[in-house]
Amino acid sequence: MPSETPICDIDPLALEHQHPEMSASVPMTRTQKLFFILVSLGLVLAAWRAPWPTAKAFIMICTLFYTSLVLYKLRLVWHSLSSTAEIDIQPDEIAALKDDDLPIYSVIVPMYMEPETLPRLVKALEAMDYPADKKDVQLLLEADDEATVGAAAKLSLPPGFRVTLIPESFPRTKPKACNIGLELAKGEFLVIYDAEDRPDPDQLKKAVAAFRSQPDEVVCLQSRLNFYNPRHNLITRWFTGEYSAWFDLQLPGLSRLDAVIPLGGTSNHFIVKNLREMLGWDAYNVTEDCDLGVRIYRMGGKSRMLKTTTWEEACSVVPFWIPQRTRWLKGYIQTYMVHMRNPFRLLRDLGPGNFMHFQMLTGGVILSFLLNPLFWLLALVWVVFRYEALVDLFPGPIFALGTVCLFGGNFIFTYICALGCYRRERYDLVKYTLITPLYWVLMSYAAWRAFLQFFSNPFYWEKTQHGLSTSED
Amino acid sequence: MVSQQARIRRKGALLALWAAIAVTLCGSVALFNPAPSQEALALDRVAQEIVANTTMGRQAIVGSIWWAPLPTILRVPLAAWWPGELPPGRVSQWTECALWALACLLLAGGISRYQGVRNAALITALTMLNPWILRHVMAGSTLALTLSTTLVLFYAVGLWANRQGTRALITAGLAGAILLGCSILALPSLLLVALILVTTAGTSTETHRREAVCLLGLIPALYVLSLWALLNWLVMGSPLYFVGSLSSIAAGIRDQATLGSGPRSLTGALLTAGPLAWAGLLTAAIAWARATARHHRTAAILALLAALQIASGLLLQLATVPATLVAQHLTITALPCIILSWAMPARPSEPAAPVRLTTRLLPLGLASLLMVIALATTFWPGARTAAPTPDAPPVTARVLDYVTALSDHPLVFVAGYAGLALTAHSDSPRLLNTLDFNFNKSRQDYYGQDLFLLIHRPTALARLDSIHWLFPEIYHLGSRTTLHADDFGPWRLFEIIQAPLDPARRVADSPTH
Repeated sequence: MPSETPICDIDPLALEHQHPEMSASVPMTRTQKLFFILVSLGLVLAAWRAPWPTAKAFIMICTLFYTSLVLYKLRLVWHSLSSTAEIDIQPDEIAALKDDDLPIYSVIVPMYMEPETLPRLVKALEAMDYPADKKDVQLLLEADDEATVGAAAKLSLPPGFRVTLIPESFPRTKPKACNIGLELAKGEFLVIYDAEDRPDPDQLKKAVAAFRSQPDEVVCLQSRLNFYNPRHNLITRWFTGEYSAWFDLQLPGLSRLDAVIPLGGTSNHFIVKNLREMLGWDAYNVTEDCDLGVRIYRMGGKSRMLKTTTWEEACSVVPFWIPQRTRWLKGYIQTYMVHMRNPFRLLRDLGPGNFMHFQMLTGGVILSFLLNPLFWLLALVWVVFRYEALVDLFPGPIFALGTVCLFGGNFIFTYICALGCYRRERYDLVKYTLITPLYWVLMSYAAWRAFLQFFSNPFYWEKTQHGLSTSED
Repeated sequence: MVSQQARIRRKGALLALWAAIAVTLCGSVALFNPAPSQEALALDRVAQEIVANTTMGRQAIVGSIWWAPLPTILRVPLAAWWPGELPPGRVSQWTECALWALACLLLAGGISRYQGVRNAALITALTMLNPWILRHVMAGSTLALTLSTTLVLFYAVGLWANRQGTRALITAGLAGAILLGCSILALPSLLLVALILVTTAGTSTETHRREAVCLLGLIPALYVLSLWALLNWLVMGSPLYFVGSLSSIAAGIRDQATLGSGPRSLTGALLTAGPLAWAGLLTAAIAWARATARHHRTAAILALLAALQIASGLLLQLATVPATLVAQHLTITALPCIILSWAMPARPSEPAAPVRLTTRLLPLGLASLLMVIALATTFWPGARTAAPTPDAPPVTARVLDYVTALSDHPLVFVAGYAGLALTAHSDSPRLLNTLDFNFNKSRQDYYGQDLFLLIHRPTALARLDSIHWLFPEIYHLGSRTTLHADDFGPWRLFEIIQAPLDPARRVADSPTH
């Protein structure tokens, strides 16, 4: 039977209430709106009065941006190959942990309309190598989600598992549920998983050992995420390449550089006390994990990568993949807009290095996806029609740099994906990453969709459909 | 945290050292004003054309395998952003100096892992202050980047063969691509690298791993090659334009065989390669044997690749590849690898362990020996002919005098990369460089002008310019639409035959009018 938990005293919107300037409840401030209107007007005016020089200047800025993004990504990958990029807990260190010394570990799993994943989830969490009496597992179910609540009621939950019903209220988002779960957590540490996750069995013990080996300022550990169905179809192969490049190369690179880490959606391990002090997640942000990753650094904390994997299901169908990616990218825009409300304060909080990391990883990623179609189009027009006027848009050195970016930069991004698969030991997928530029078209489409949705429906949570490929590869 | 600060300090110190070496060398070039090589003059000119965003600049950067794009691209920033005007060739000279400093740092960094900083500095100085290298660097010829990249590539392959590290694999992959972008002469070495990657990529049962290693190690170089072909298709109109000169080499070999002289014998090639190639091959072979005996896989691979590179140079020379200094070039670029191989101690797993006196002295002795050989090589008669002798101003002036005496509206097409070097000292609008000459198009584009074509004698690299394989024997026999006008040193001037024009129309239609 689901346990009835009193939650009326919990404020899941604490961040918005206490620090509204850190919440995405207002997508854009008045100043930001004014700034963007002025910039847009300025651009339109310049394009009208002097179209050619404006276009030239625009292309020059974009080319310089692309060049720095390529170099930046290369740098991250290079650092990720260092042996100290991640916290690597060895089996003997895990064996040395005594059950009596282990703290209570809270596990929260927000779920919505996912009754079919429940049995497998419970089985996976039960199988985790951690004393049952020290596991505090909360299944966070929406009160009106009768299907999942019913499925939970039919299961006989193991000891240490409980159901927390989230009352219906606005916004209906995962982070809001997580905030309630956080307040009700009994553990010293807490981890968040998605319903379809299958974490490595020793992950909790590794996290405990890692937290104990790190300085106090390290308040969050991010596990690697990867997929258990990478070979389902071409989309899952590409997705695996992208995930491997992100979680096995770029995030470890950031960890090694002691840089701000945009956390991934699940398997984030926290020290509960610190997370509560930070007021948990922003209930209005649709990539609350990325936002929290930045906020941790702004508040003087640090995140690190932990060498352990949580296996997820890769979305294998384009019509479902697009909404998922749209939400992620919209969340990145939200995060960028929230933290850039006061760039000087952000610079002071993060320091110049992390400020640049933030620019590249959130603003830069979005911007590149938005700009890509324009430059693909320009390249296509030049190749097919040999429209010579286009050449004038690229002054000599910029033309050279642009050519290097077009051919070298795109290759580097593809190569990074291939390297991700190699690093993840998915050797057979390496060849598929060589055609990954086709996947970028989908990304750019999702980016534009996210950009438009940011203005039209900023808090809309496009739920990812799971259970599309049930078999493991 | 402390180690990170130390790392930042170390990087800062290395950067400062590199800057100091580069600035010193660049300052020396500015102070002593050594004559730039023909290659430097041509590359500077191409960089300027790229900055000006001209079609010829784009043609020059991709149009020939003998003029690889990367050295030119590296010259573009300086050519674009240096305030004021620099003497012809200076951009190349300074760029090469900076790259030479980088090569010094790489070599010193590699050796210092095994021999300590002081020994590393000494060995590096003895190797890199080699007069043959210095002369090329100061003259602005493309050598330093090839030298650094070869070192990085071979070392990475050695490390990969030893420990199978991911970092070594991607370093090898990217260095291979860069090397191919620097010089087509790297192709034989890359084939050897590919062979090593394939054979060390895993057991026969690990098919997917082997496939992945090969892709990561070789795809960058293959990508560079296909990109080169793609750009040729876009810029030159044919994807294989850049390898067109290979047909002229093949024709050269065939002609020699027909005439009875035949390709040079291996002994002949070895003898004419000069003592540097000999000594390099010998020391590389000994280094390989020594490393093999000590079971030092990285050192053995490094020496083996160096030896095979020198041997490939000799074979290329045997195949009458026109650059007479090919073997020496490949030897020089392999030298740092041999030195590094010698410098590695007996036990690769313990680089910090104290090394024996002989291990310390051997690389020093070897570096000194090579220094002496290089000094001798500098005065080797064959090498001296390669010294840059810019005769450009007199030739261009004489050609201009000649054509203006014949016509009021002359225009001289100066063919090939050799022509780029020739016109470096001239700003006359009557001299027009061309890398893809076409008689009909020239007549149409410059209708009404008296057209001339200036062609360099088909020797050395000039023999590989497109004019010689697009119009075989044009230098010796002319063509159906040209008349021999005069010779100016190695340059031959032809007048292009055109139909007579109405004098009034002649002036009115002239594009330069």
